[in-house]
Amino acid sequence: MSTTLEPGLAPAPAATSATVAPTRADVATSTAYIATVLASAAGIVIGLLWDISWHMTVGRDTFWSPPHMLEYASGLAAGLSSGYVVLRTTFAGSPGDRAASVRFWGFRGPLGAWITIWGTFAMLLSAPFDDWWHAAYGLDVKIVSPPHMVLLLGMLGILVGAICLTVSAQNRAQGARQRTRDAWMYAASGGILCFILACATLEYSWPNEQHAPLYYQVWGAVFPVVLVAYASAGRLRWPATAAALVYMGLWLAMGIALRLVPAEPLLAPIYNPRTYMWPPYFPVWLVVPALGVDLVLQRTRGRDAWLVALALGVTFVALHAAAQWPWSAFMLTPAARVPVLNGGEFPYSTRIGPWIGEFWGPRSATNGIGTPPVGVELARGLAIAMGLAALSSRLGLAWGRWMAQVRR
Amino acid sequence: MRNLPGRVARFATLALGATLLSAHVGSPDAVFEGRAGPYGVRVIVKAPPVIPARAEVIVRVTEGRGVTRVVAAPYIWNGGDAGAPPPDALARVAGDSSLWSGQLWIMAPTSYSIRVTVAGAAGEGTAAVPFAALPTRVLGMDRGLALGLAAFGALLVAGFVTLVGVASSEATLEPGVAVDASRRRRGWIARGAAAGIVTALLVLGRLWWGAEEAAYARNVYAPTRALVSVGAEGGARRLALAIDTATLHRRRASPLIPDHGRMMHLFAIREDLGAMAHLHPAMRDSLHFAGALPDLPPGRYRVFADVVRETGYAETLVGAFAHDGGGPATPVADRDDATFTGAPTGATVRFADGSTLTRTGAATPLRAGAEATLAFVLRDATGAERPVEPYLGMAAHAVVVRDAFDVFVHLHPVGTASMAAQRALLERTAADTARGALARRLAADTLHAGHGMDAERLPGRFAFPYAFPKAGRYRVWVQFRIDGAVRTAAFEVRVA
Repeated sequence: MSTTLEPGLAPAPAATSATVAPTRADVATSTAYIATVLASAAGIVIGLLWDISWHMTVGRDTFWSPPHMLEYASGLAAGLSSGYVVLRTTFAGSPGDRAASVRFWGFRGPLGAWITIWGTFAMLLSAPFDDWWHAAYGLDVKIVSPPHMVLLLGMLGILVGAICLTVSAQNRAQGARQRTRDAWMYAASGGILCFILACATLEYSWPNEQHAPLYYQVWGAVFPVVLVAYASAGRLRWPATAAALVYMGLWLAMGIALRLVPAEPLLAPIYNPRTYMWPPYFPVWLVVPALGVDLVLQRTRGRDAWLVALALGVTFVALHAAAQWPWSAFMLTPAARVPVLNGGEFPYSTRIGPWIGEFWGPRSATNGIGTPPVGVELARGLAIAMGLAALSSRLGLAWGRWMAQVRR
Repeated sequence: MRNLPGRVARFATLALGATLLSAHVGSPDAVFEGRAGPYGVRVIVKAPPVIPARAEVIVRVTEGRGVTRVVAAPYIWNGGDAGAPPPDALARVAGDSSLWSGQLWIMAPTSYSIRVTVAGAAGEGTAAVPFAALPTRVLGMDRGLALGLAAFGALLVAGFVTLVGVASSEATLEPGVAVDASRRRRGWIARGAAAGIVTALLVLGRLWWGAEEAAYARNVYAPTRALVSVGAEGGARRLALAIDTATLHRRRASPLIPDHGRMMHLFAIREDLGAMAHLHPAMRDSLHFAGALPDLPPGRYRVFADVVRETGYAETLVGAFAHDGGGPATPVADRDDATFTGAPTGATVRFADGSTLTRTGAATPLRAGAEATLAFVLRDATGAERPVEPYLGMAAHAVVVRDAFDVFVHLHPVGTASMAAQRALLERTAADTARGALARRLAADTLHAGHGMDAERLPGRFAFPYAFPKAGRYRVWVQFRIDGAVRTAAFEVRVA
């Protein structure tokens, strides 16, 4: 990918404007600031998975719970540092800072800083809204409520802010060292994005569900957009693979760490007396389909975007199933019920039975947990997953094209 | 309590006494006075207005020294012992060495037994307090908060639209390059699209919010209505009551169980508070009750009918009837029924035989929401304290009504109690999963017990623990039995 604008875009009137190249001495584009927002995004998603574990283990949820504190502290760190950068760029910005910024309601700052500030404000708004919601309708029984959606939007805002900051840094980077470092920071933001998506799809992703088409459809719809966008905009040789590795590493670290923390359920009824925090199961082998995405993109440059998306969708689902099908079968065995792998770990409110070692199919009133479909029905389900993955990939190509152009 | 059937007796260390459930009209808190093993305790469970929420539990140790620890846990009616969470320790209230308080997490809108365990020098004991956790209101949003949130939300929406515009125009320009007209136009098109998407999301969000609120509102407690009619039958005036099934909350309805040997305790109170009757109509089927209506002065009467369900949920049905004073003369026939006509006469009420009932401690002001005790002493004509005979298994009963009829509660010396609710909660076993099984067992047990106890005498000094839910004027009728007859005395109580 070259640093010039792609053909098809309106040419910038570069010849008539004095361009100023931002340097790392400038505040708005400094590695320290970008790393702060990136770390805050990581703190938020770590807090999110920790909070999910808290709900599955302790049950009692208050505003002041440790995972919530991590989330809010991370949000504030990202928002305050971005606020500082915007004020400084607007009122005392170096020429480089000002050149690499966008105008927003009379102020100037990098696009990523603005998105981060927006996310922080959304998180702040959700706090009194959620507090009122609890007073009006009771303490949380469900995760999906309007104030929680506002909170989630805020978290996503900060994450997207981190993505924009890292991608514009990558796209402006000069010199081999800076290029490598910026490209890795950008890949890390992709890993964090995969991580939050894995949290959001947790309910469909228990190892027990990984022989049913629904799992492959959900992952096929959600993940290719990210991997493909990163694969097409990243400057590393294997950008999607790198992002998938970051996700897997972070998830694995959480699974190892949470299992070491003693805890007990404090809400009734307790059907599964836990003695330590629920640890997430071993991460999905996202690196396998990500490798496929990188390979396909490397070999299809210049081809029709829809054909490329179809190839990406089929590749993603095929490789994903090739990895998870045998792995999930192993995860259901007693041999996987050990630290690191974390097989057979369920919330305190689950009535444990032999079904925890079985594959689940579509749930129904008469069928209970059911059994996964086989034969033609399975093939049709996987074909639908490939179709969804192709659409998701097409979106990813479009998003990746935009990200490759972000300079501010 | 003194006449506990054998089956309850084995729970004597676990619990003695019971409380009223929140379904009593306008009086959702549970107040309990009784024993936790070697200790005397008074427990108040403050009902939260929404469920799930945290309920405040206040425990006063009234008897027994050297208490080192007080814990409490909510036991859901059908959860068994294994389904309960680990108990929460209550903290000693600063400045009052006998008072402990803490919060319990009440997660379901249903019937609970709150178990309070007291430990100290004298050993350990537990009291079980029936408590109905019911949401009682939908909270509105006050104007200031609504405006604040709306302004903040508008800022976010405007910010989002601007961000999309900037992202699609200036953000992809090389640093330092100015935005040209075509990019500016593209930015505005993107803003328009973003505004459309946000509008659609806000509309969907509003629908979602409305659906959530409607789902919650269906669970908010509203009293079950009773359709009450008066007529003549077989030479006597009859009162018939039908439960209005349109107002019956299906998930809270379950078979009825007898309380003090009766399926229903009905209180008819004239709207000017000048007359009241305490009656026990018989159950015809699960929805219909009927019995004699003794002679009462004409007027419009409010009806509060207490029933207890096998889930331990004690419920007050509400209704009304107009009585023209006509119909055949109908004396009180049931020895547990009683009527009263008249106004309060101050802190001491004098009966025809010269006996007096005096409210003691009436000078102490009562405050809404605070622990209160309504104490009385019965004296004979010579001024000596006079014992009472058990009336419906208790030394005395008090019927409390706020003058606006928005608060009604039927108190016992053990508190706002339904003995039957407590039995139902404590005696449920895994074998009682079938609906109605426990109700049949309890009915067979209690309807044949509890008679032939008139020889027993209870002290004529009794007190009712309570916490008045709101300020105002209350009428309190105290009922007890002497010489085989039920006596009623009326008092006025002011709460600040």
